[in-house]
Amino acid sequence: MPIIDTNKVDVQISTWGPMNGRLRTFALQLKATSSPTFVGPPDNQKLAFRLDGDDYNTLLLPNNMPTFLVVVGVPDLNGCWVWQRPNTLGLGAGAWWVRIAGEPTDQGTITVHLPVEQRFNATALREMLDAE
Amino acid sequence: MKTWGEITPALLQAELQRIGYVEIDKDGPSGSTWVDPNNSGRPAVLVPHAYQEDLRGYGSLLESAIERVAWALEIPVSEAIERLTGRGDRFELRIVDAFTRGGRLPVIRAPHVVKGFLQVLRAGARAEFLGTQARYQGNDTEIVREALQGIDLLAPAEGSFRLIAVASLQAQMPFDPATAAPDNTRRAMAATVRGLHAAASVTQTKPTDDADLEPAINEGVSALLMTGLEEISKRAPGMAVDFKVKWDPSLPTVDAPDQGVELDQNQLNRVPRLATQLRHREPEDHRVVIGWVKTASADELAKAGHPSGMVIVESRFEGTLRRVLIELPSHLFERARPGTTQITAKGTLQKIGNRWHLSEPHDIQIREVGTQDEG
Repeated sequence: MPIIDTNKVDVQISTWGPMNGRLRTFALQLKATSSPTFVGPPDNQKLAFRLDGDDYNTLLLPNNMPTFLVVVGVPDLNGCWVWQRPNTLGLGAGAWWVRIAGEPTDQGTITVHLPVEQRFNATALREMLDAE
Repeated sequence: MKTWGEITPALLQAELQRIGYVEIDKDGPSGSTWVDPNNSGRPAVLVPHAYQEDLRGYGSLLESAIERVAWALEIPVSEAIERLTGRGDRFELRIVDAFTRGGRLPVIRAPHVVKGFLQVLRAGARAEFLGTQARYQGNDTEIVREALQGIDLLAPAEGSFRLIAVASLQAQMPFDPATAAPDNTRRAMAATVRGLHAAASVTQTKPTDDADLEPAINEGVSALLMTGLEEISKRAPGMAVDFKVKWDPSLPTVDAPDQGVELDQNQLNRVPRLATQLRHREPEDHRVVIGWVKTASADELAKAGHPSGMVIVESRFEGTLRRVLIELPSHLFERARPGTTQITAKGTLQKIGNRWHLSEPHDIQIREVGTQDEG
């Protein structure tokens, strides 16, 4: 169900029917950047993203459902967002996710690190649905 | 316009039961899961736990559940909200005085009003489950607590200052509203309304004699009810209170008036004195009931030929013919025959629910019509 950044939640996703005995639901806070910065050694790379301290603290608050931060890397405005070949439709974007945990911050912004292997895809959706 | 904010998890659960859903997971971390076992095409619904109201996602989950109810019913969300907010019995207190015009209540009075409102409901629940009494002692019993837990207070409504309690009922599906038994919360609310009507009547005049209070007590007027009214009207000379009730027509019928009741300034002025009068009233332990046995029903299949059970006796007291339920031990129950025997018994006469009971009966005498008394 799409909702507009209410309570620092952009999207709430729920199963239509029960999954393993109960309805599953989770919430996403979406962020985008046209200049994703990857840090760390090649075998343990992470997407470093500057998040508002306020957003970060809100994601730490107790919630009735699991909530994840998803950062979408997109091309800049002049870049190629979508391309088409005879057998291919390509989307020039990638997304990564993380579940924020830790202590609240009193800083204006804080850098969060999203492991690059945590791509936001069908497998990730499944994992999020199982997170309860 | 009704808003989804008036909808509680209990209201959603009652509606889901009504439309054929069953709860398959009660204690999920986000809420309870409901599905329609006969129609897998309908969406599952996640009803958030009321006790998680303070958590961040509660509002979203509630909104989501309402939306899914709308999908299940194939109606617009706005219609689903109307349907949900129209469900459940509603009991409303409206305070009418100079201070509360404009929908405000001075904060210094607020605790008294809420406390008084709860006491009024508690008096109803106690009258229903402990029997009508002038005064109650001790804490709430389990059944009284259970009945009160089924009542939610909605956010104060716009307009003049109003508190609205809604009984969020566990509907029994399927049922016929005319024959199914109302649940405990509904019974408590019905007793509250009966008691308030009696309170409105008894405060019309100044009863000086204790005996004048008897009919009102039998209808649910108690020191607790009067104290509740006193709390509500505390620190507000010149006020009136207006209680309104709206019974959900889809739920089992209760024996209580449909109309609300208003207590004006003069009536409220008489409340403190009546509360004191009721508080000092001694419980009546030894009423005598004399009447003929109308029906007799055994508790169970007789063991060794000694059934025990209860009889309903038709008896006249306080000028009215009433039916009183009396439990009898086996040696007396065997002799109680409908239509042919008369019973005389002493005990505590109480109205529990809609029925008169003679509790702890003793000195019971059973007499065949036309014969000598037998002990």
